[in-house]
Amino acid sequence: MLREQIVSPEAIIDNGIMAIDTAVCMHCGACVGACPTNAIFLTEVLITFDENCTQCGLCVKACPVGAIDYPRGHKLTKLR
Amino acid sequence: MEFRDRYDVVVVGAGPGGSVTARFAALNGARTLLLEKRQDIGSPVRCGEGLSKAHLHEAGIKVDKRWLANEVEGAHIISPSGYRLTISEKHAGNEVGMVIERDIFDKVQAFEAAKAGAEIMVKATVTDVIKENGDVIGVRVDHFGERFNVKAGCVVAADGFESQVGRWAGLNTRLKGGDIMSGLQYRLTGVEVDPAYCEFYLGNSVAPGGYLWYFPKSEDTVNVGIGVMAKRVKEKADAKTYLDRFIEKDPRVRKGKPLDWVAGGVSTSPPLERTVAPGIMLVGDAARQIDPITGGGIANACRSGRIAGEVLGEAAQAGDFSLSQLMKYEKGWRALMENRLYRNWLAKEKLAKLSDETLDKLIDSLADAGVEKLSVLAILHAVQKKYPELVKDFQELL
Repeated sequence: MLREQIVSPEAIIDNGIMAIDTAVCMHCGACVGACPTNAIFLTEVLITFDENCTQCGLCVKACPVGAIDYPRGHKLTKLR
Repeated sequence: MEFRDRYDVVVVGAGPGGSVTARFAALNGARTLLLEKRQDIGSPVRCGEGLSKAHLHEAGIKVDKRWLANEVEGAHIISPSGYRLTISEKHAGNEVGMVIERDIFDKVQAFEAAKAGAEIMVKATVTDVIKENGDVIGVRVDHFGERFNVKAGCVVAADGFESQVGRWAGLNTRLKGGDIMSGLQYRLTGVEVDPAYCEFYLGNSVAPGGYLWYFPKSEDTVNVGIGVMAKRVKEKADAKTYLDRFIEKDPRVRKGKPLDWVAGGVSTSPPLERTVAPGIMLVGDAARQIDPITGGGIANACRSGRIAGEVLGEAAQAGDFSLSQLMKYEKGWRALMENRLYRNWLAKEKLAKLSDETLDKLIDSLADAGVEKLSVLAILHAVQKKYPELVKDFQELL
């Protein structure tokens, strides 16, 4: 099967705190329960990080599908 | 539907823990409201769906063919190099025995809550707790385009792994990276897996710090899932990478077609220091009552839920929602399961540190010894016979 990565700027929501690939996010809440500062807001359609985030990266590791990344410009970011 | 502004008990989350709490609170005379953020109780499923019969009756739940998908005879525990320990159903610990239809299971528990007299509101997201002088006195709810407050004698946070409500109230439910499992599962159909056995695969090459499971739902359909310790994740999406790699290597499931993908987090932490504060209690996954070895949470949530419901019914009857009344729940669930949770957390910490070579030896010696009971003590004795040098790692558990 010929595959190409979806490179769609609209799919990645980067608010400068953390970045979420909405084409990949399963809205499962693994990040929310892992977050030590309760900085993630999640519904079935929406996921955002607020200013309580310390960029500790636990959510990046907890996400089973790799939908969360550090924001653009962060030294650990792997964003395309 | 008319809802009140005030209830004796407001339960947040209509999973098994929340619904059983609501059921027993209502049965014991509390005016009870059960809130569910989703429009459909039980869906989407976020669960491996393995469940033991052992403790359900304690929560007043009978095995029901509506949600029973498959009964298994036992489990195989398989080491990294393929050593295999087979245990029969009656000794298989907490989490094998039945494979269930979790969405239906949850609906049935909510039905029981309603039958007992609880009111239910779906598509109702709790966005915050309301406090007065530091005590929780209610919750803020978004429901179908409306926002309002509901007051309660006691709020029950049964909001699952996310466990946000308790944190809003000031309870510490934070997890360490070593106590978080990153989970992913596919329900695969068109597979050739023995429906009589659950399978558990261990090893750093298979599922770092966790395990990979096959829970058969029928003759040709199986839940294949993985839990990877967050602390041990090296690359984004390791859970998926390890799971896909394993499936690719197993000809029995490689050609399986997915009926669903299930993602989620699982806590495998020691018991919390506090699960009760003025006006609020935590139940189930929100209270981190999951068994740290198996990752199973349904039975403990239901058992705790019953205690919570009974304590709250008594509170409503007496008009006494004081902290000392609510603390009866804290004492009750701890008496039932705290020691086991703590011991299994210690065992998990040890297991997660073992090398693949040691895991091979461990499973081999257990299989050899014909361990009849999957208890920590039985395991230690079996290992001691064949590999005494391994037991020194486990000394403090003896």
